[in-house]
Amino acid sequence: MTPDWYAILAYAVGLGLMAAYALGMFVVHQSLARREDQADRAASCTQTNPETDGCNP
Amino acid sequence: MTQGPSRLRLLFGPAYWVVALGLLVVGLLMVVWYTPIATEPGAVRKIFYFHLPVAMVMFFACFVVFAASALFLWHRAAWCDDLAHAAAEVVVLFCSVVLLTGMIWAQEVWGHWWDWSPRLTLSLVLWLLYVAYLVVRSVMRSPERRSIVCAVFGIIAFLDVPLVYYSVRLMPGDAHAASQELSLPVLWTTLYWMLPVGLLCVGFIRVRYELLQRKRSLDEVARVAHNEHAKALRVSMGGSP
Repeated sequence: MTPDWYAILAYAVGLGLMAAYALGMFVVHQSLARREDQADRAASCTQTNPETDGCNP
Repeated sequence: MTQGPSRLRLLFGPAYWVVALGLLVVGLLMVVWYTPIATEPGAVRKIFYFHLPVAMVMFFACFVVFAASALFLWHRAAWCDDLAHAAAEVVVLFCSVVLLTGMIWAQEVWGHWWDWSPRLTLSLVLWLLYVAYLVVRSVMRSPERRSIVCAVFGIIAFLDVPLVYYSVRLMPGDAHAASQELSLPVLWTTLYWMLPVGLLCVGFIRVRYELLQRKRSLDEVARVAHNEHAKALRVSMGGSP
């Protein structure tokens, strides 16, 4: 491998790892957003009639 | 759910990442077109512009873990624990980048992927310490004990940082140069790269911290809901609340 390719490999590995971490954080964000939606729906269901508004008993 | 201050949210919004990535692209263009190809060791020298700033910024992230851990032991505030956790993850990420780019450099310039020189060995120890920090965090069940143990660990792990930094001066036999004469393009490019790498580090810590805070809030809501449900169940079965 020529020196140019070593340099390219180093940048690809380094920036690739950072991109993978950013992607991982995005996945965690999506998962938390789903949990927040579920928590909001559960909180709004406690005061209403489960039979009419689609809340699970 | 808990919401951060609106100004902080604006600061770390999409524009922040556009600026950071834009600076990164400019940095890459500088590496390709502005910096000369050194006669020795050649084009592989260009790894230096990325490797060194990532290492410097990694030390900053280590300091954030140290400061947040110390603050936690003093105030016992949950946000300090979350900040230390977020910064520790970024330390592991950046240290991994430093070690891997360093190994690629070493293979081309020194003819081997690794040697047990003081700086490399202490850098590996640094990586292992912060990986251990995250492992301890994931296996300890009691939240209170976990926070205290990790805070102490975060303070102790920081002791390796000055050892890594000063190892080339204090310990002989290291292929890393203690200091070097740098031409202006090389110096400017290396200093410039501190900017996008620093922005990425701070941005990663901030986003991870916010995710941990949101998770903490959700876990608290779930815990309260579980306790309420258990109380209602006891009452319905004729027991005391």
